Amino acid sequence: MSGGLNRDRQSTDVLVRNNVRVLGPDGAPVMLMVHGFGCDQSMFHRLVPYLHDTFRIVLFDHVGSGGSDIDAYDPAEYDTLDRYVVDLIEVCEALSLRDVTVVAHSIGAMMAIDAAVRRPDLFAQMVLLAPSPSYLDDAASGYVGGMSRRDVDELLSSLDDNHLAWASAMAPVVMGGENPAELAGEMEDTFCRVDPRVMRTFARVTFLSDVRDLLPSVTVPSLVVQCSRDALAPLTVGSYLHAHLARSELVVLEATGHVPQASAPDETARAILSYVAV
Amino acid sequence: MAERTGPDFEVLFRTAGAGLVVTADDDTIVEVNDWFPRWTGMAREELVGLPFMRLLSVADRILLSTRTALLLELSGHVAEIAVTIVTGDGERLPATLGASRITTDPPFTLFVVSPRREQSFEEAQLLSALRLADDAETRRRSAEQDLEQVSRRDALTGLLNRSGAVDAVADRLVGSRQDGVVSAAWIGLDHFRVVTESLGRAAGDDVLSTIAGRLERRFGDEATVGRVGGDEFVVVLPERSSARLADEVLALVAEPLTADDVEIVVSASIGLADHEPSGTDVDHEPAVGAEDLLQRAGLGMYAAKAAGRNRWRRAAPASDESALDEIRLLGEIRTAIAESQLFLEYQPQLDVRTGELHGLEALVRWQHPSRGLVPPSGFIDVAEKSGLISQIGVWVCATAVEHAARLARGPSGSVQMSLNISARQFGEAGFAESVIALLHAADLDPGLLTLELTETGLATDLSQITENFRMLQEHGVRLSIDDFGTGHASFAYLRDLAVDEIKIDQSYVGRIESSAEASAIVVSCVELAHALSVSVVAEGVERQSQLTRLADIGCDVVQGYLFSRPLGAEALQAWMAARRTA
Repeated sequence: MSGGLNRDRQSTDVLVRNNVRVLGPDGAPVMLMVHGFGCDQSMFHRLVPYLHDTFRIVLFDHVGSGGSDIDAYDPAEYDTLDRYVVDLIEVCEALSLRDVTVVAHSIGAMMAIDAAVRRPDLFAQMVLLAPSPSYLDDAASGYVGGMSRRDVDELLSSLDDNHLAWASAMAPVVMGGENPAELAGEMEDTFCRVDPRVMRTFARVTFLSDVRDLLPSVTVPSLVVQCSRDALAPLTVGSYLHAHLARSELVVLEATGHVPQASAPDETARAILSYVAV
Repeated sequence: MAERTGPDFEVLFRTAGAGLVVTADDDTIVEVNDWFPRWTGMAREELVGLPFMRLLSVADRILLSTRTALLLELSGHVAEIAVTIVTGDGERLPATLGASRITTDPPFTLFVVSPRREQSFEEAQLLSALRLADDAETRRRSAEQDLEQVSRRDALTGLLNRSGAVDAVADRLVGSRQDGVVSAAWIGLDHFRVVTESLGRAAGDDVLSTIAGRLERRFGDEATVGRVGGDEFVVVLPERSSARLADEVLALVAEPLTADDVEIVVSASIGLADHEPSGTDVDHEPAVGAEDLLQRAGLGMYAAKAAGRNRWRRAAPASDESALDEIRLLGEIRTAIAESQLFLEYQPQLDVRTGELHGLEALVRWQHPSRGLVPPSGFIDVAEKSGLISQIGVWVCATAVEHAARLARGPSGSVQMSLNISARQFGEAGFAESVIALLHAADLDPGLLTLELTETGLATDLSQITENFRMLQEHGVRLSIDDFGTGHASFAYLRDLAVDEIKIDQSYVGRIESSAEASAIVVSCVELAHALSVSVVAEGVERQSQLTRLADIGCDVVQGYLFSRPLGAEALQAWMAARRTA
């Protein structure tokens, strides 16, 4: 049937476009990892070993990051969250994923929230790592996102200077010596590749998106995982999400920083496992 | 022998020729060397205890949190990051940053900071090239979008326009061929003209934009939403039509809104139709299927309006007998045009004051080969809906103009020739030109032709009507509004279009003696018309007493069975000859 072939073809295109990788036992519950700004799927590198015996782990790169197809990156199309959300849903569909536990970091969490509103049928639950529904302070509603109007202006002007692009336009970093042997074959030896051209638009998407309006529409249960000292997401952000997401739980890690899956993988994994085991 | 002493690491640290900053796991600065406070102009005491990120610009803070920290965790060190250090005084110092994780217990991070020159020439060039490429791409994109916007989108609301909506629905039909479930809701605002007439056009635009926004927000993701007429919208969904949906739209429209700072409430009439794969050509012609679906939803809306407005009605399904009849009838009308089964009759119009012949109204008739004479009511509505009315209109116009030219050359001399043109035809581009061409071809004085605008409930393009009116009037053609007082647009036409004549609907004339209300309406129409120097024709005059009353009121021209029924060409000749000899 031509329809079937066509669909296979499209699925393959999606898998290549987003550099999708699947680890772990066939038939196990599915865990989809959604990375955030500044890196690629390798930001889950330290977390995966805690999970890949129990879960079917699906990793992918946003278009413009990691091993994704850079030709698919159109700055006009990827200038809002929308296209990233569509890609996320397409990855699920290409692999016919159902009952997905989505583990999403930072801006990835916004994408997951949006996707869960559009397609609640796809997701069983969400684990939101260092999430924020909006990074900007909103004086009108009293919301504290962490970035003041002045910060935003400064950020926008540095985006215009392309500062981010050239600050990150450096050689890919080589993984440190403590590389877990069992993953050596799965991971490439370079990681956190981000195309400098993409940084500027992606930063705009990340720090100017606001999904607070979507929160009341979320029906998929979620775990909000916050770090105790995160320069990008003050503690109030976590409690805000917990208060506005129905069926959510909140856990504040002892870990500091914005990337607990790298800085405190064991604590992060414990939080995830005890949540999904319930 | 004296043992050679190793270097004093603390002294090495303190006096190193670059900035050294040590932070704890939670990012607070625990130690700095001498160079760093000197370079930044900040005291050591000021720096220790401060989160290191506080010293960075926002962009760098973001990069450090998201990327650099991660790289540090995963690879142990990071080199040569370009950052901007922001001092306590707000001074911005370009720097290059390197960082290493020191995996003692507890762990620390050592940052090495050295001054950096501003972007090199090559870097600046590279970046500016990238930016130009980005911007060019964005401009191309936005130009493309603008073009699409103009041809397929409505400028006021940004929704799809009619042709954009038809295309989108056709695509939807192709996509839905498996299950075939597609439905349309045609939403017509009730009494919208009242809003524009009482509050002005800007307020009207506010209302349309507000309603468009509500529909788009509610249905935009899953549906095709379009503005398909002046005050009409359509929502096409991949599900069967339902009372729930229709009620929801009614409620959505009925929410109070602010137009020109006045809070008002509008209502709508809604027609629902479901796409029905019929196994016929329609299935292979998505554009036809889309037109069909929208047209049926539109008919449903008229049914809802007729039933009292502010409600919804379901359109008859396409397989319904009456719809089949319509399709058959359309084929027959095409044949009628091609095989000259149509002909004209002419009803005389008389000048009330002089009793002289004023003119003739040409009326179309259909001599059906098997069904005999079909009255206009039996086919004009169907022709109107399908667009065939234009072909009929052109034929009527050509025939009547020729006849008028023949009469002008004959013994009775020139008479005024009136004929009916539907608003739909008046709304077509090029209509005025084709009439003017016909007048030229027949060599008829344009002043002898009166075109009567007949309102039909279908959406029409008022700006195009106005344009055609203007051009026809410039050439001397007289213009009239038919059935005045019945259509909801009558008064708007009278105000917006420069007309020469109005025709009072015969339903008022028929009740002019029995109903005080009908009489009052006729009186006000005549007064209004005369105030605008517009002459008034009364049609359907059947009794002498009606004529007397109309004369009292000041009506200018009359027609009706009291004087003559509509006559074929030969009978008309005889009638005119008889009057000449009388």
